[in-house]
Amino acid sequence: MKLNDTNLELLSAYLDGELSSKEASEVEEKLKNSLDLQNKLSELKKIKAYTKSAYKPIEENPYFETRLLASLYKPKSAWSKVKKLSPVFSIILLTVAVGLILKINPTMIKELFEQQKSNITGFYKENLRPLLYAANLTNEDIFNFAFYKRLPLDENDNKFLQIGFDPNGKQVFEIKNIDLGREANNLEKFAASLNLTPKQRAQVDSIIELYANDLQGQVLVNDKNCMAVSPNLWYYQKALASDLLAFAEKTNKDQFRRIIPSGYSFASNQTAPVILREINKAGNDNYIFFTPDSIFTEKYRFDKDKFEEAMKNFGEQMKNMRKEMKNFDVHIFIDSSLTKRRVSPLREKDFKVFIDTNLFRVEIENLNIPEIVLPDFDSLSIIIENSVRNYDDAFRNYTFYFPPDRDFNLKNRIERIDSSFLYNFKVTIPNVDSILRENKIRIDSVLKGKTFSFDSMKVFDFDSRFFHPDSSRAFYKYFLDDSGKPYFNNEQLREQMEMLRKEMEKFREEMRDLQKDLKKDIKETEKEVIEI
Amino acid sequence: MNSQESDKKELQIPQILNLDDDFSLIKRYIDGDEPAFKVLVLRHKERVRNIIYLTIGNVTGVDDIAQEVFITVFKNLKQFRFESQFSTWLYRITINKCKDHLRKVAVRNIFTGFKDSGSDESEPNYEMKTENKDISEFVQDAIKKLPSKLRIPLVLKDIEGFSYQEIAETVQCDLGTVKSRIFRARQGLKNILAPLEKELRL
Repeated sequence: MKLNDTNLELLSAYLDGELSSKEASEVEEKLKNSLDLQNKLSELKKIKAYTKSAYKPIEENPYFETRLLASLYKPKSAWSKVKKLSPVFSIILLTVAVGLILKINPTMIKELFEQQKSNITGFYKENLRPLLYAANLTNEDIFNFAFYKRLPLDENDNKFLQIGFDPNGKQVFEIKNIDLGREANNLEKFAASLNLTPKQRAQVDSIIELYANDLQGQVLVNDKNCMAVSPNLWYYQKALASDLLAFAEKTNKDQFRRIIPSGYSFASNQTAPVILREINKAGNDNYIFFTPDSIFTEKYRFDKDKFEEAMKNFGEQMKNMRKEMKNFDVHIFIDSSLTKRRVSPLREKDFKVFIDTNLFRVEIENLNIPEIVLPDFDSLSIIIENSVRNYDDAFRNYTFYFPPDRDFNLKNRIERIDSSFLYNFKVTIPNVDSILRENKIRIDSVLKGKTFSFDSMKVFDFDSRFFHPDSSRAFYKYFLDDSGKPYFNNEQLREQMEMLRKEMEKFREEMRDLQKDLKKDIKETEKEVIEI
Repeated sequence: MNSQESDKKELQIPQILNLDDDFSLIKRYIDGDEPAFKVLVLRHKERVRNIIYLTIGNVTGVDDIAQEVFITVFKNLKQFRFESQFSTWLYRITINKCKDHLRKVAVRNIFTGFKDSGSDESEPNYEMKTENKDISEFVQDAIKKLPSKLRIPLVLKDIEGFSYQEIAETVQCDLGTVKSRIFRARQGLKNILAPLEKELRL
């Protein structure tokens, strides 16, 4: 049985004894076969036990029924009924009061709203500045506005104000992030396509600058995240476009004809002057305000002259400020009493602090670090390295020497034939000590450079200062024994030899015993010794 | 058909057998013997109070809710139809009152910023908890953390010893739901208590 939820629910119900006998026996059957289920059951059991013992019964309340009966049979006072209805009364009262106030002063609410509104609009109208001033519009930008209906809203051209008309002919505008497919140098292309002379080109620029001046006041922003857009933008766009086209028609009719349907004349069309007249006449000074709270239209006059004056003043102020800055004297008062208090020979000389624009450095002086005289490790290590290499070379091809006449003669076997009690043995037992001795001597000679031409080892003057017992200890261990006499101390080999020696001794021992036994046997049985 | 009939019989038999004194007390009360109600209250009040205590998870509101329960019983007792056990009816009212209370608390918590939700506030510092609490308090906290939908069947079963059938009638849902909710409640407890596994030896 798998541990799915249905099964586990069954298990939980089984634990509660809530299953029918048939279901219960089924579960029991499954339990027998599944360790998982058994674990789960014991887990559930524990949880059940914990739940069972978690709560102690609540303390009895002996006054409960008295209180209950008292409240049940208590005659309900009129006041308690009124009390129950109190929320209703208060709502009715409030309604009546509001009704009365409105009756007496019907415009109150409207005034309230108006006041609120003017508060809000006043708040957002504060400090509106032309956004396009900040965007630093070029003639190219204005030209794009005329023909592509978009104005950059910041210096990096990250955002655009795109104006246009929706399918129903209503004005719309959007604020867009960088839009792709935008062509650059449209004004240049325009001028080039019309073959404008420099003079005519200057005229185009002057037309554009004229509009640029007006456009500035059309989009305003302030520090409260509010943006105000004048609906006149649409008109300005149209006026500028028609003005530019009229100029184009005047200057180069042939080229102009290529782009504009024939028969259509902008020069005779008075669009631009008409629109401009309309704008100036209508007192069309509504702005659309976009604020974090809401969007609303509200009359607002952007006083361009005032703004320009303010900017001029600001510029002059800045200039003056700059002048003043030059003449600033900086006086830094240093409290000398404090320094006196701090004078202490130790502290004064402890640190030097340097502060630079990109550096903070503290120099520590008078730090008493004991000097340690260190040996010249570099020259030492070279010698050590060399000698290690030489040592390796010397022993890599070295074969240990066994005395030839004392070779192990393992060809000889000992056999015991149970039936006849015949023994045959002929073993030459090597003298291990002699082998060891032999090898030691040979190694000694190696080290002394007698057997091999072992020039490199001569570097080691064993009595020289390199073999102080405390210095390269691990190193000299290979060459000197405890008495300071050089010898080859190959631990592994020695251990092996030692073991071999012991085993041989044991073997010799056994052989001796065997020999004795055999002699006894031979004497007793007087049988022949046969060589195999 | 046969099995259904036998099921019905199984259900009905205990009712007939358990025809306890409640019914006669109620009858006496309906016939005008008002003190009989007091006997009824005395007989059931502690169980009711315990159920409320377990359901809402703290002592403070218990007596007020119990009062409300018995006032409701008092008002509706004359319309009591002797179809189910009195206790079942009583516990159903109790549970409903508790649910009302929990709902009110939840709404109040929305406005007061969960200040007195009780069970949640001490959660972050387990160290402190382990120092000052014993195991049954951990388990109590864990039970409080279960949604009431799971908590009520669990405590009715494991602490009050109701049968699944009684729980189904009290909580007004079907038997399968009770079964699954109790299992889910236990599973939930296990998960909540998991960090304390060592101490509880789960």
